[in-house]
Formats: sequence, structure tokens, C-alpha cells
Amino acid sequence: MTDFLQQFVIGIVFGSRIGLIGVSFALIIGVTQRFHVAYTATYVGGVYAGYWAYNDIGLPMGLSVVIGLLFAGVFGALIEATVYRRIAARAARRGTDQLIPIFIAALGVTILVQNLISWIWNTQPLAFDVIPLSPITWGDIYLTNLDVLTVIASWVAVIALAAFLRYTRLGSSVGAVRVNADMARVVGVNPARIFVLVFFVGSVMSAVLGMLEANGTGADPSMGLTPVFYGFVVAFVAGLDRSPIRMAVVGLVIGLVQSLSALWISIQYGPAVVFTILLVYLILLPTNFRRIVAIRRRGAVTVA
Amino acid sequence: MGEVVNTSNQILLFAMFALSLNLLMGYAGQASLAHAAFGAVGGYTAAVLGVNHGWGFVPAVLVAIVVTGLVGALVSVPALRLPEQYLILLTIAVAFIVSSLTQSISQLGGQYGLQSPGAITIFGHDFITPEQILPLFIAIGVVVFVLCWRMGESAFGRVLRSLREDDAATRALGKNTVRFKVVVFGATSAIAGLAGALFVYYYQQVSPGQWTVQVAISMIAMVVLGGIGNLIGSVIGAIVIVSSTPILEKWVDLGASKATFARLMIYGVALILLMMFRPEGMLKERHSRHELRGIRTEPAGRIAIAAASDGDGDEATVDAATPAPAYSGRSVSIAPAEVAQVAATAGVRQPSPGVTRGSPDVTAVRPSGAIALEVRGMRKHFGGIKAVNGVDLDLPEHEVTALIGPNGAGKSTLFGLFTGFIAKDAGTVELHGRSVDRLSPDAVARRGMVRSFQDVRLFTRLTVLENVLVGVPHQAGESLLNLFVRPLAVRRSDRETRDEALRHLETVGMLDKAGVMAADLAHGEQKLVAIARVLATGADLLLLDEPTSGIDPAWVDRIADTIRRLPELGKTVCIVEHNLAFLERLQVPCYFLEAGAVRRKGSLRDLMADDELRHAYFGV
Repeated sequence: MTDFLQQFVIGIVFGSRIGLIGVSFALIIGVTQRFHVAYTATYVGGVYAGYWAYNDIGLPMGLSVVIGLLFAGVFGALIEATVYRRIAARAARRGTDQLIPIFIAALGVTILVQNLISWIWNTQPLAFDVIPLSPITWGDIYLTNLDVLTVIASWVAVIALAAFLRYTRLGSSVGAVRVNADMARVVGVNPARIFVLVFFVGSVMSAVLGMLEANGTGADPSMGLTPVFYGFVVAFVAGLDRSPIRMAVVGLVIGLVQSLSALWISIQYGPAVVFTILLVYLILLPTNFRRIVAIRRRGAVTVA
Repeated sequence: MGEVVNTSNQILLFAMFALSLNLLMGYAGQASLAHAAFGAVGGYTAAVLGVNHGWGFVPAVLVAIVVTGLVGALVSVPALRLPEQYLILLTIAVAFIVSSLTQSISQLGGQYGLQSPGAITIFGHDFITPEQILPLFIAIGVVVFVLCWRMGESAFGRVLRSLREDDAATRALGKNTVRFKVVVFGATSAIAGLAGALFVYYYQQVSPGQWTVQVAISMIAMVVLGGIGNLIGSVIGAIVIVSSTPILEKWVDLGASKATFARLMIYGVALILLMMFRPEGMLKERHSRHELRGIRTEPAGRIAIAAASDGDGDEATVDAATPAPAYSGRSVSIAPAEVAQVAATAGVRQPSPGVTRGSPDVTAVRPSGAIALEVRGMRKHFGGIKAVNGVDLDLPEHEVTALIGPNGAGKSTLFGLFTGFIAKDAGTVELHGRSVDRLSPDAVARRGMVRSFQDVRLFTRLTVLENVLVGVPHQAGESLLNLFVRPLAVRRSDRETRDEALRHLETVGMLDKAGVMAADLAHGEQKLVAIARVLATGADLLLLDEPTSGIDPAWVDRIADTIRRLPELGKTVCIVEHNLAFLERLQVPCYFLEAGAVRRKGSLRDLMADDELRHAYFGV
């Protein structure tokens, strides 16, 4: 029973984290149709920017965190405004597919950032102690203050995003662009700006997640691949057009399944369990395919 | 010197990865981040067999090839009927899973991997030093290149490129694109497994660090840099990227780890810049213009192409040496009276009796008796929208029938329902008395009912001839087995396919454009090529969706002329059309659809004489 409860708690923490990954990931992909694998780059980039401000410049910790988050947001927005937009416009002009060129450019950004960081800070994990870890025990169940913070931060971000999309004017503009960018343009929304906004918000969230992870296990240039894997799984299993709260719940469930699977099979196979969920889901998917919003293939979104 | 040999061996290994990845990504358009992971599957398979079971080099490598090929094909299966981003997602997942499992499973040596799988020994001959291994790798590399070339530059490769351009349009021509994707995924994974196994034998060890996502991205960089869809480019890409390491290490003197970071940063920047400014890479894709060479080198510069009729041996001579359009002799000269009539029908807005004047009776079209397509109770609702709501329809054999009606009447939806592109809610479709209700779109096409698309959907980065070639059914070269086992049969089939495609291009008068890229055609020309492509399938029932929409009146005549001749070729035709002048010229029976139901059937003249229908159509 203790094992179960312990794994359950771990699952809640992990599930909240990958829920927010899925939410921020789906926000970007769902609205902009960009296959943004370079989520890894803002995830890691924000952490190292914060580390740089704190360690190399000597700014206070709180300010450094804010700088890291803003850096990630601006960086994500810049990727959209300088790279993706241009590739999409070119593809639209020629009537070819934008999916693969953007995917490849995103891989380019990923590998560039990872190795730039490795060049500057080397590949050893760096301690990133924003908050000192302290254990919380509750009966036989063990967790840390960081775990609690992770859960709170994830759900606050998810609910804040859901409220923003639902209750603000800007949020409904985002929704309009998601459904039909050309129609949104007609009613006076500028999709290009919305895209940049979405990249900014999603990238800030990615950096929040990066910092939470780095605070626990240290910063490492290659830490971005794992979150992208989970982000994809959560976003695609939930459906790209789903509300943030529903998406976060799907993330929570997947996190719990992976965590609780450790009760029966070795913990190292946890990712394989999630992979199996994904496979089964993809095999069953065609029956309820219509509910899933796929990335539109051709220049449906021509933001230039 | 040793350094050069070592680098050459690495280049050969990575060229094998790049060649196979190009087949998958460049030809078939399936981006994969899992290619390094498949290398790991091959490498670990060989290493486990060699280290733990004492297998020799040859059997271990062969098993590695088979295992990796099967894993690759299996991974692709779930995502194949889904949009392609799901396949990318799956390849990312595979990369992640392979990396996390190889690191954590102790039987595979965890972080440190497995050492010493054994020497490379072939029939008692040992290959130990890099100098000894180099000729072996050159030989294997050449074989891999030939394999990839054979697959890519064949009818098989042509279908891969067409499904890259437009999967649905490829299926509409009767190609089972799912089979092609599974085969290409399996074949390219198998080659990656071979390269992975050789890699492990070359370095005498396997570890997770050899197969990271960064390595997968490097492979993509080789393909993209060299040129998407160009195999020679992939070899050049491998040379450039692999040799950049020693250059940065030795000449720029960065030291091993900084050189690695610098190299990967350069790839990153290169990928970004290439995608922004030259997405096709250094070398452009090859196009099979050599299929046209035969025509130009004919001694007299003329070739005889059997006319497309029921084998009566009639021959139409086409002058291929001069670019003079072959259709010039056929183009319809419009008599003044005809012009007046067209003008009158086009101006049907004014309810004038001119619509009927001078048009011969519809019954003049030869009746043929048999029903080619019988549709009963067809129904399709999208949410609350009743797109098609109980349609009964008969298409008489060897005749042209038209569907007309206002926008949103459900005409194009019907085509989608007939051919299985859209799942119907209710209703039956019988083609020559046999139900096609449960068939996939490509199976329906192979059964003999092929549709065109309102938005044309040519394969834009293929030539006109290639577009039509894809349509030809039963090509020996579409099967990998034939490509490698029956080369002569493939050659014969390729020649027949070419003649067939040229004949259909001639039918629509586009022979002189055969070598032009489809993207460079005028809209009207694209529509004609689309008709040739549909004809090439050999289907006897053609569903043409707005063959004249948005095109120049001069082209309309050409298209009308072509369609009018189709029944003589044994075709049954159904067209959706808004151009009433065009229909008036065709003189065909029409179904008038409105709000998803057939309102009335009759000649265009009768339908337009009906005030109610005219009101429904024009709002006047």
C-alpha cells in the first residue's frame, strides 16, 4: 500500500509536469501548425540564461529566474518571426509542404542551441538551486518541496492559460486563429502577431518546466529531448484542439500510468509503457479520428 | 594516411545511412528522426549475437538487417493511415525509447554498451585493420548505392515521390500508398540496420552514445545538404559532414570536444539556412527525362504511337522533334453559329429562348443500355449539414453524364462517397453490378472507377510525363522483388508504361509538354494533364470534378473535345460542372442536384427551361 501511495504521489508530480508540457506544446502546434521540435531549445535555453544571469553576472536569484523566462519567451518568438514564418511563406508561394522544412529547421535550432551551450558550459550537469530542496514526509510517503511547487506551478499555469483563452479578448483571437487564420484576418486579427504571442507564451512555459527540472536534477544541455517526447504524446493523445485543462488531465493520467507501472515492471521501462500507450492509441485512433485536429498540411496558414 | 583511411571508412558508413534516409525522406517525404535508432537496433542485434552468442560476422549482420527491417516496418504501420505528423511523432518516440532502453537495460551493457563483437570475417578471410576494411566497405557501399538507386529511380520510386507530393491523389490513381510506405520504411530501416552492424564491427563496440538524436540530425543534415531526392547528393553530404570533424580538429585546432560542438553548431546553422533559402539542397532532384530521350533520338524525329482505341492498330503519327503541339490539327474550329450558341447559353441569366435554339436533341447521344454505376440511397451528413441526403443515380455505360446544381448541392461530395474517400452514412454503390461499398479508395480505382479533383492536384514537383506515368496500372517496376529479380520484365514494362503515358498525353494534346514540371503549367494545361492521368489508369468509369472551372475559354474547347471522344474509347464519364456553355456543347443528360438530393434528370435544355430549377441555380 505504501508503495502504491508513493508511486501515486510521484505520478501526480510527474503527470502535472508532462501535462503542462503537453499544454504548452499543443498551444504552439495547435495554433500555428508549426512542427516545433525546437521546444527543446527554449526549454534548455531559459534554464541556462537564468543560470548565466545568476552565476556569471551575479544578479539576484529572483531576477535571474525572470530573465531566464523572458529569454526563453523572446527566443521562441524570434524563432517564429525569423525562421518559421519565412519557410512557411516560401512553401506557400511554391505550393509545397511546410511541415518537413519547418521540422528540419527546428532540428537545426535544437542542435545549434544544445551545442552552443555545451561549448560555453560543457556537458557536465550544473547545479541550479533556485530553491533549496527539503524533504516532506507524510507517513511513509516521501516527497520534496520542489515536487509540491511543481504541482502548484503546473496547475496554476494551466488554469491561467485556460482563463486567458476563454475570458480575454486576446485569448479569443488566439482561438479564432486556431480555427481559421484566414477568417481571423478578415475580422481584423493579425495571425502573424498571434503566432508570435503564442510562441512567447508557450516558450515561457517551457522554461518554467526546464527550471523546475533543473532545480531537481541539475541543468544539462541535452535535457530537452525527454520533455518533447512526453509533450508530443500528451498533446496528440489529448487532441491538439482540446482545452488546456483537459489536456493537463490527460497528462496527469499518463504520468500516473507510467509511475504506477513501476509497481509491476522495472522502473526503467516506464517510458516504454508510455510508448505502448501511444502505439495502442494510434492504432485505435482512426475510429474517432474526426475529433482530432491534425496539422493542416498545405499552406492553409499563410502568415508572411 | 591512417587518418584518411579511417575518415573514408566513416564516410562510407554514413553514406549508407544518408542514402537510405534520403529514400525515405527525400523520395517518400517521410521525415524520420529514428534513423540513428534503427542503426542502434542493427548494431545492438549484431553485438548481442557476436558477444553473447559467439555468432560470426556474416550471420550476425544478416540477422541485424532482417530484425531492423521488420522493426522499421512495424513501427510505421500504426501511423500510416494518419496524417504524416503522426509518423514523425512515432519516429521521435522510437528515438527516445531506443535511447532510454539501451541506456537502462543491463544485458545491453547500459551506458558502456557491449565490446568486441568479433572480427569481420567473410569466408575465412579476415578484415582487421582499417586499410583491410576499406575495400570491403567500398564494395558494400557501392551495393547499397545501387540498391537505393534502383529503388528510387524506378516506377517504385516514382510512386514514392507522388505520395510525397499528394498521398490522396496517389491513392485516387489506384496505388496502395500504405503498402508503399511500409515497404520503403522496412527497406530503408534494413539498410540502416546493415550500416549500424558494420559500424559496430568497425569500432568493435556498441554504446548508446553512438546513436543519439544528434547523430540522427547529422544524418538528416547530410541528406538535406546534398539535396533532397538526389542520391549522389547524399554521398556528397556524407563526405562533407564526416570530413568536417578531422578538419575542425586538426586544421582549426579546436581539440576533440570543442570540435564536436562546433561541427554540430555548424550543422544546425546550415539546416536553418538551407530550409530558409534553398530547401532543395545542393543538388536538385533528378527527373526521368531520359524517358523522353527515346523520342528525340528517333531517326526521323517522329514516332508512331498506337492510337488509344480498342486495339484496331490505328496509328497516329506525332511529330516529337518540333515542339509544335500535336493537338494543333485537332483543335476545334468554332463556327460562328456555335459561338452564338455558346454565348447564348452562357448568358442564360436572361431567360431567353436562345438556350434551346439550335441545340440537337439529347437523345442523339447513343443509348447503350447497360448501367455502369448504380447508386442507391446515398446519404452523408456532416454534423447538422445534410451534404447528401438520399441520392439515387444511374450512369449509363459509354456515355457522359453531368451533375449540375448550385454550390453546396453535394456534387463533389458524391464523388468522394462513390470512390471511398468519404465514409458514407448509408447507401450502396455498384460498379458494373459489383458492390464497391467496402473498398478503400485505391481499391475502387483498381476496380475501374477513378476520380479527378476539383483543385486538380497534380504532383507539382514531378514532370508532366511522370504525373501520367504514375497513373498507369500494373507496372512491374512498382514491386521491389521484380526490380531486383526480374530486371528484364521491369524494363519491358517500363517501356510499355512510357508508350502508354505518351499516348494519353497525346490524347489530351499535351505531348509537347511531357518534360515540363507540373508546377510550371498553366491552369488549363494542368486540367488536361489531370485528364490524361485519369485516362492512364485504364479505368472505364471516370469521375471528372469540374474539368473546366477557372480556365481560359480556349482550353474549354480542348477539354470539351477530349471528353466528347471518351465514350468512343469505351469510357463512361460523369462530370460535375458549372460551366453551362460547356455542357451545352457536350449535349449530355444531366442530374440536377440541390441540397443533397436529385431534383430532376433531363437534358440541360429541359432543366434550364424549368423556372423553379433555374431559380434554384441562379437565384433569378
